[in-house]
Formats: sequence, structure tokens, C-alpha cells
Amino acid sequence: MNGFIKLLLVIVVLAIGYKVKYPTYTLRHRLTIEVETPQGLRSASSIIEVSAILQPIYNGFVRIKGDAVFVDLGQGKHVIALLTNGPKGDDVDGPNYWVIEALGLPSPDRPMGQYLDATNRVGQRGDLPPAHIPTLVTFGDLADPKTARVVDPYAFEQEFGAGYVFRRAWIEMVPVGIWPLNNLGIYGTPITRGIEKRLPEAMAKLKAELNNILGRAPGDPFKILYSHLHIQ
Amino acid sequence: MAISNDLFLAILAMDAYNRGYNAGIKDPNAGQDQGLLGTSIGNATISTASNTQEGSAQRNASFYAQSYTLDGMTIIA
Repeated sequence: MNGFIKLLLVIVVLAIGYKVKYPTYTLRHRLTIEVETPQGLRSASSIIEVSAILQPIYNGFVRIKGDAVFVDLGQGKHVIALLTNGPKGDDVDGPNYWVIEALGLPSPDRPMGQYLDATNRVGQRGDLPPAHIPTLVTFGDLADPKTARVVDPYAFEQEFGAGYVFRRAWIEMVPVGIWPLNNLGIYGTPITRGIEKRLPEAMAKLKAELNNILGRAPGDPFKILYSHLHIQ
Repeated sequence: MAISNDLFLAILAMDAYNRGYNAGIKDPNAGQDQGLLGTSIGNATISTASNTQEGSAQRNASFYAQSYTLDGMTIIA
């Protein structure tokens, strides 16, 4: 065996050992939003992936992939559940904990252990508590992201009119599949993609802002971001 | 006790290092995209940060900057 092959084997063994010692745990869940309207119940959902990356270089990092949930309320009205929390959409870490909150998993100070636990919970479901409902928005003009405004889930009638009531946001665990087949969409429940087709002009404008140098300052008003709607 | 301007600027630099995503020191209530949560340090007020959203060019390049307002001046660290 020549030196090159030996070196290659050593690298492969080290890489496998590193992945075994510091695994990445991945789960997928369906986020469903339900709204009562004068025309009946309207709902929409999105499959979102959550990964807990335990490698030291990431310092215990949790990330999500998915799209926001667009609910067509009829009569030209809509509401979008963003991939963030809080009245100004500032809590971008909030979605990392939706599963934990919806399933009522214990020990909220140890999210990593909870994620490991949650990977075996396919089929389980639960409502998101009020404090963890995604930031909800509606656009004055679907082509213009500057017209996005936050909607209080408990004030739908003021925003949309009589008969519109936010009912609930709930989570259901779905099969994640096996890497890399799940990333190809041929095993496990595929991550939902489609918000860019639903809001092509707004998404194009928000995507261009990814190159902006400036971000936010404390106290800034709500501003919708590309990553609120789509995380690759 | 008054401190020198250079020392205070150095403190702001350390403060900036512990804000935003992947911060070394975090407030116990901070999310993983946040570090220190205070909105002022000494007489300096925390102002605009660089773009930190997922997928941004700055974040992809592991870049982070924080601006402060002090006595009408803007300081970038």
C-alpha cells in the first residue's frame, strides 16, 4: 500500500470518528396554521427541518431549513407565519424550539438533549403555546415587502374583518429520512419549498437585501427579511 | 475614575466581539444569534450592526461589525 492510500485511509477514519463523536441530529416537522374565516376553516402547512449540530466548531448550533407558511384566507386576504418569533420578528432562534414547546418536552435549559429525544417522536403532535406562535404578517401589496405588517394572532378581526379568527398553530413530527436521500427528496418527508413561487417579486427584492451591509439596531421597527420567509 | 479614550475604545471592541451570532460570551437569555443583550455600555449606546441574517453575504463571510453612538459620534467596532 503506497503512502497516499495510507494517508487517505487515515483521513477517512478520522473523519468518521469525528462524525461519530460529534453527530448532527436532524428532525423534520410540519407546522400548520389554522384560521377561521367567514368561508370556513382555512389552513396551510410547511415541512421544516431542524438540525442540532454538536460539533465543537459550531459551539452547539441549531439551525432550521424551510419556508414560511402562506395561508390564503380567501377574499384576497392572506396571512403568513414567518420563520421567526416575537412582535417584531427579532427572535430568529424561536423556531429552533417549536418542537420542544409544542410537544412539551422537559428541561427547557437543555435543548440538545431534547432534540435527540424528539428524533424518535414521528407522528406526535401538539399546539404551539401562545408565546411561541410564529410572527404572523400580512402584505398590503404582495409584490412589495415594505408593505408587510405584523398581525396579532388575537386581533384578526381588527385586521381582516368580522369572522376571521386565528385558531391555532400546531406541530406534527414527520419522518426525516436518511441522509443523503432525504436531501434529494426521495426518502423522508421533503422540506416544503414554494414561498418564492408564491411571492416572486417580494422575494427577489428581499434576496437583493442579503447583500446589504447594514443590519438592525435595537429598537428598530419590524422589517421583514428574506430569512423570515425562506432558509435554504 | 476616568478612563482613557483608547481604553474605552478597546472595551467597545471587546463588547462587539461578544455580540451577534456565534458570540464567545452570551447573556444567559440570549439566543444563538445573539451575544450580549445590553443596549448601552458606559455612555455609549448600541446602534446598528452589520447584516446578520441567515444567507447574508456578511454572515457567509463570518463578518460582524457593531456601531456605537457616543457623544454624537459613531464608533464602529
